Amino acid sequence: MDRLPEDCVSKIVSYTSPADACRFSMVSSTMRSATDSDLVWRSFFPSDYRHILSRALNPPILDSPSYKHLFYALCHPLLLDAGNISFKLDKFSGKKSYILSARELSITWSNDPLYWSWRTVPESRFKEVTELRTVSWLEIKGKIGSRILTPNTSYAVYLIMNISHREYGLDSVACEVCVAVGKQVQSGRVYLCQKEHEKRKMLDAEEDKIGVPRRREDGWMEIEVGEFFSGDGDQEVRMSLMELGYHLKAGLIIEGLEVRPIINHYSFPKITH
Amino acid sequence: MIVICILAHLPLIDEEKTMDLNSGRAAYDITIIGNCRFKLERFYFANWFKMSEIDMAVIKPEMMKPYIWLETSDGSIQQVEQEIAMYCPLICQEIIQKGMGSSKNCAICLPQRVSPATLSLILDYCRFHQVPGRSNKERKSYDEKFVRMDTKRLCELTSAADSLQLKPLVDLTSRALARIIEGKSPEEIREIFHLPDDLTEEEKLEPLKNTTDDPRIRLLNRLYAKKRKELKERERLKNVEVEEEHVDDRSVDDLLSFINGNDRDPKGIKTSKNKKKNRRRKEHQKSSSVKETAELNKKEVNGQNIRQQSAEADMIAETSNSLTEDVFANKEFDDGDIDDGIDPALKEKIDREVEDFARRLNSDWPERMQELLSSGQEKKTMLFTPNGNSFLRRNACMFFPVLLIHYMLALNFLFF
Repeated sequence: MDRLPEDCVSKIVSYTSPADACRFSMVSSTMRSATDSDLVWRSFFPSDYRHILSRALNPPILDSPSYKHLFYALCHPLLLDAGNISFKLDKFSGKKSYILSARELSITWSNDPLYWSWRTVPESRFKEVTELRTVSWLEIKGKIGSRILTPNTSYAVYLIMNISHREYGLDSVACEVCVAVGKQVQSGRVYLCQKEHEKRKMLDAEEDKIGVPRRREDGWMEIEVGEFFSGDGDQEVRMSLMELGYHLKAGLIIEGLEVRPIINHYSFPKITH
Repeated sequence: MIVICILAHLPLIDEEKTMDLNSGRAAYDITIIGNCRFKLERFYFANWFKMSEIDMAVIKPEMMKPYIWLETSDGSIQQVEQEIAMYCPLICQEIIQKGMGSSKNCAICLPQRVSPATLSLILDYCRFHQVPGRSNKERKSYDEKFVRMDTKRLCELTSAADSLQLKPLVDLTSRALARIIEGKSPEEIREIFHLPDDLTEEEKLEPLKNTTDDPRIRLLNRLYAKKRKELKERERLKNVEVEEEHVDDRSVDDLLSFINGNDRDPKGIKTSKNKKKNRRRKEHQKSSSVKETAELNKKEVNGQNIRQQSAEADMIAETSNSLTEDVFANKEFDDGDIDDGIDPALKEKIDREVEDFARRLNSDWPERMQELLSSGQEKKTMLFTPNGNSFLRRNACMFFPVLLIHYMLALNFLFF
């Protein structure tokens, strides 16, 4: 392998993933110089990265114009358009992930201040989050085109939310969640809130596989809405969470909807070209 | 058909033709069976006992297939069917543009990376794929079976295919190698490909920062960065001082020329001897810079009053005696750094890596780096400013031994 020309080695590494490339650069000094070449890192970029960069509110400033640095810059969240969409690349695989802010979603009754209130919160990555004051018809919908996602990847959708101290009614009834791509529809049920002392719910959750919120690293909670596979074409992915019963619900703070690739950290998925 | 076969074996009148027939018999038989009807017609027209030249030519199409001569890295020459060899762009180019390969004498010289074993593999690949009538599925399954070989041969194959510009094969083998690399740790990869483990500990930690966000590793990286920054600062200082020597050279001599003094006194000789020792050590390490200053001094010496200079030299020597030890001690320490076995090429490489690394860190932790940088710069400024004098003095100390030695030499010339 040492006798292979450097651009051959770079080509080989470009067929792997960014995580593999980082590990490979630790093998030896000749391999490192081959791995640091632009040929390798350019191949990890999504094809429309220029377009994405042009939409960014604060394009990353690089001290050195290498594709490796640009890749790392894109692995940090980037606000797009009017600051309503957050984009980043997964640093292990180079796949795209988006977070749609609450303003990008269509939340029924969200315009009525009696039901939902919009606030600026320092913990949020977006300008505004919305908090549920009280409603019985809870309907949150979002959509994303599969064209802007990495093709042939399994994605999972999560609702990023929090529960305020004024929470009421979110733990009594499970919500219906659904992710639909073309004809493929995946639906499930989730509890938006889980109180520790309710044993009944724990049993339900285990038997019927009802989802529960989980804590995230950034201080928010997330609840899985569903999964889908982004094929080759351009399809609309429709994601929704609904609870249309007569129960009154309050105290749900919505940050947004995250669409991120499913990454198994122990066995890396092969990127098919 | 049987009739024709029997006919084929009938003896012919012309002897040469018999021999030809014997050697090309297999071909002849096959063509007969293949073009049975065509041959039948021919026989009706031709004489059964005599074959015309034209028939002989038609009968042996396989012998007429164009062959190309190729020479591999070990000097052996072999014959290959042209249409198979033409699948490789490099060979194709050689044949068409330069007209090579038509005979043993002008065999096409293949690049050095193509060994005979690899060539046979490549030719197998070409032989399969140049046939147009194969389905994609067939080709794919052939490819998958083809790359099932040990990694060493796979690497050689990639190298050879790359030198022959056979892009589909390069892609195939590269992907196969990529599949081998995927998901493996660096040690495993080193084992498989027999690669040397020649990265320093610091270099190894650098990319880890990117794959995991482990705060402990980040901390370690910061410590390493700090250490490297210090090393860099010290080097920069050294470089700056080397430059400063040339710059301050004049000023010292000017100083000397302004001060009026007595005759050279014996103390000067003593001190000069002391400094001679140090100077020799220094000269060993910075011979070039010293030589340059020495040359400059020589010029000055010729143009000025020697006695005056020596006296001045002594005066300044006395005043800065105390500093001498410190300065030289420092110098030694710094030189010790240089002399710890790193040769300049590797040092340059490390410097580059350090800069690269520092830049990367810079982009991630700007405040930290500002901190480090500002503390580094303070060190630097300390040496330059108030201490403009001490700096001068320090340089003066370095010039002393040089100056004195040269005065001595000059004196020798003058008086003897």
